[in-house]
Amino acid sequence: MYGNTGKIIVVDLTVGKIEVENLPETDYLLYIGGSGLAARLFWKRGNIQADPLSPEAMLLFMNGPFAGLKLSGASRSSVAGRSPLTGNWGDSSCGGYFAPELRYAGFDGVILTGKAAKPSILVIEDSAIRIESAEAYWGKGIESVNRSLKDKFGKTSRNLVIGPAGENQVKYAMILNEAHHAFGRAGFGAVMGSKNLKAIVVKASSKTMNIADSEAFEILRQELNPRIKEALASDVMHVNGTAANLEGGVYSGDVPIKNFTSNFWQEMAESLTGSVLSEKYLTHGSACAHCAIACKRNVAVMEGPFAIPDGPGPEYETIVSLGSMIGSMDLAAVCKAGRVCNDLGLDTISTGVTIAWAMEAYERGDITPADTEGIPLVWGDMETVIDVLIPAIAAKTGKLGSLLAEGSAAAARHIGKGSSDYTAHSKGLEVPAHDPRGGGHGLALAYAVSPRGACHVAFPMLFMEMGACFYPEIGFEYELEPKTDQNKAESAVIAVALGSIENSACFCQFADREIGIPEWVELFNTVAGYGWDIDAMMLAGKRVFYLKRLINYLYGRTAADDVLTPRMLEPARDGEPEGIEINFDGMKDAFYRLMDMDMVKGIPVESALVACGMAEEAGRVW
Amino acid sequence: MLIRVVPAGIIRRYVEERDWEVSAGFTIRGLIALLAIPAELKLMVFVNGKRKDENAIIENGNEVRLITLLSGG
Repeated sequence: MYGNTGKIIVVDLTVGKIEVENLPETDYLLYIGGSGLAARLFWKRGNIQADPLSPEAMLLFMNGPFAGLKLSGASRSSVAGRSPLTGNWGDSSCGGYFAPELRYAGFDGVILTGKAAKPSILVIEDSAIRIESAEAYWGKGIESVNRSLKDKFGKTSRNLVIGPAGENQVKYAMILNEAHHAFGRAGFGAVMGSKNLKAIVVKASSKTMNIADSEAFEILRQELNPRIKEALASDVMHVNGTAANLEGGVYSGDVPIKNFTSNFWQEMAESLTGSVLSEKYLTHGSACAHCAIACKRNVAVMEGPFAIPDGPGPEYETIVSLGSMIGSMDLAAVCKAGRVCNDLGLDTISTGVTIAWAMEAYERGDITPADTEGIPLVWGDMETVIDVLIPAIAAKTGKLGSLLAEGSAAAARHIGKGSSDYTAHSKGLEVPAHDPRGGGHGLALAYAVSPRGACHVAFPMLFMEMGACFYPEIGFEYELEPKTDQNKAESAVIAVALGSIENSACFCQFADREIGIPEWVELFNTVAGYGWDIDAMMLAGKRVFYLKRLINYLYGRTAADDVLTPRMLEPARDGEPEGIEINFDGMKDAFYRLMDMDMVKGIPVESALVACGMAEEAGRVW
Repeated sequence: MLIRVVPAGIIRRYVEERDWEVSAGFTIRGLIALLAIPAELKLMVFVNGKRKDENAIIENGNEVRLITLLSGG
């Protein structure tokens, strides 16, 4: 096998059994890698109905075919399984350094079941794989554990670590690589915590890869790397990070404010935008492995109530989720809140949106001081957010911490009083920092049909509506007007296939904007020897999307679940999108028809599955 | 006639906020060409707070705010 190694590590933590398995090449050709391959393996061998936090649950880490290449954007990997936050299919993507190291060590992925008797670490040193005690680290924050693991295993070792939030099985606990790069969404930190798995460490002694056509790939690499680096968007993010154009997003109405109750806040735009972070708090940029974009931020806040030492800083999602979303325009506070979430191991998006919902509920009187045991929930009160709420969520302490640790959807069901109407989620996954009412109506459709729940990176719809995409080879030549429904369903059909390819190839969506469709094919063929043409590649993407939808169907998710909450579909109250209605039902109906999906079941019709080579899968749902 | 050009977000990299002297009947399209903003950036233009398309004619004293939709994840 080329690119991919064809080998995965399979661990039963209950009995401490570790095996290396060879995967058939057909799995890769059909489902690509990353979250697609994870879905395939989960479908075939996972205990699909197992509670996500039970020993029977399967947790899958999976690389794409390009991990380890010296190519900007290729160092991501996927984690997948049943999400404890949503109860349905979940996957999350992480950049950084874990994926290449796992590839160099000789593996494409790790599958874990069972539960270790005591806190444990999985150590992978080339082919020497073992389970060690993590008792010295249990209860500790990710920053200190990362340092300890580096001391023990060496600076060149790479790790995935959970924090106390994962240990306590907070439903949106996340996993960090190198204490900086996040598997943020869907709560897989809690799954690791439920298995008593504090960390995974990987260390490879050499950095070689087997490539199908190394000469052809090198020519392609020499073409792509400079193009990625010199792209306007790359340069913008290199200089001012992923929040470089936050200010512009406020004017378009893309940036959510105060639990999606507002779409314009000029003063906040000028306070939180990326150039301000650069001027005030940035110490240096940093990058994922082999990436020239280097969009990562490192910050220090030298003085004031939110002082923090030099370390990982906030990206766009964190700046909005722990800033404007909760009514704050204090960038120093955002930096500290993000740092605290990182150390405790909490997804900043779900944390911010859940707190935002709680703040509105408190303002309305749906959550009372008795419910909060006296903790005030006031917009922009960052001292309370940082010093009280975030720690309480991570520790699941008190009535409020325990409530909010379940996520906004579950918390609202518990509170009742119609408070679910002003949550912001789809299928239980909180909406990220792009409001479709301003950012683009197609994003509303993308959020609703994404298998893992509301996700802006499952498909490149956000980028399509920005005008950042042009793929004539696969029929995407539209100039989309964001605040309309025109051509959105047609665009979504292309987006779901292409996005599934991106997330299965584990390629950064900032970098891959510079990769044309023929070049995608050439990458798969020169690196991994897939032997594809464009149609075969797009079919693989469609197949991945279909399979994730089938998994959700087994959880009882149907077309009725492809929705957004009422808050997300009410017309914006101010700003550029004020008063504009989203034709959500029209876009959804059109998408379903174009995708051959059953209008009630929400899954592809049997003939569509058979046409994708999924007759066996069809037999399980039809 | 005199207009005020106000860049927002990353447009500030290419244009500074200042007054511009332009001829009567100048359009948004003409202004964008004059400012030499990279063509890759899909612009939204607001004149005195209201969204306008490229055919709109700018008038004396207008504030023209330029934004782009480019956004991080």
